[in-house]
Amino acid sequence: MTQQTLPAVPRQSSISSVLAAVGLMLVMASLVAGVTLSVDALDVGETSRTMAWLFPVAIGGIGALLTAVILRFSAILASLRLRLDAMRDHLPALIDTNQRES
Amino acid sequence: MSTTTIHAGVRVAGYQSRPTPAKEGLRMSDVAQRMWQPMLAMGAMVIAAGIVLGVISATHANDYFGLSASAIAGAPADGSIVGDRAFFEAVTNGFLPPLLFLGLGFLLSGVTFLLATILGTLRDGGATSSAPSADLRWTSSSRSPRSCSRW
Repeated sequence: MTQQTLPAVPRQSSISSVLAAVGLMLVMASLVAGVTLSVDALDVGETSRTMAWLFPVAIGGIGALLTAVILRFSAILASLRLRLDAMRDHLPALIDTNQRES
Repeated sequence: MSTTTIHAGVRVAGYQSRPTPAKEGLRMSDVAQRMWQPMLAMGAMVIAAGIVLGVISATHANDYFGLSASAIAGAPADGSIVGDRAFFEAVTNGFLPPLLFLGLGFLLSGVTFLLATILGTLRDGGATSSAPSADLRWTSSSRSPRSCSRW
């Protein structure tokens, strides 16, 4: 019986989960801050000084989510290449065995 | 990268094949394989710069809106008070939103390039894995190679 070890899980996979969680938290915090601001919408000063940083932070949250998507796809690509390399290495031997049996 | 060339007039799996072009042009997946990392880096840098600009603009807004109405009304036209307001308006209501959306566009194009890279990898992997079986003989009574009947 052959003993085989599975390849390590790509590191991008775990990083993407953390980034997705951070991005979701940023977007949710922006939503809560926006709702809090809307309570006193006539206070132009407070609204202006808050919206100046709140909008970039919300976009940064979406950017973190997109980066998480990119890293997840990159992990998929890495595992796909592992499988294709394994198939390319072992397929000729499998075909030879099959031809000898038939 | 090596691809299998199909000549004109060859039948594959019982169907007339289309010949492979004599010279393939630049493929999308080859470009995408090199482009998704710069797109990710540029998107992250643009969004980080936008966040820093937003924080700086918020400090200028805090300086301006923290003043009383009489101080604002009596401020000189070329003073720092008017400069604070001008900076806030130029950044927050001016070029900051388009800059952030540009960063999002970079990230989305990175996603697109990465998907194209996955497609190219699948295509090349299929061509590579089918190369060892290219010399198998096809029987007249079967639509599959006899030696691969167990597959």
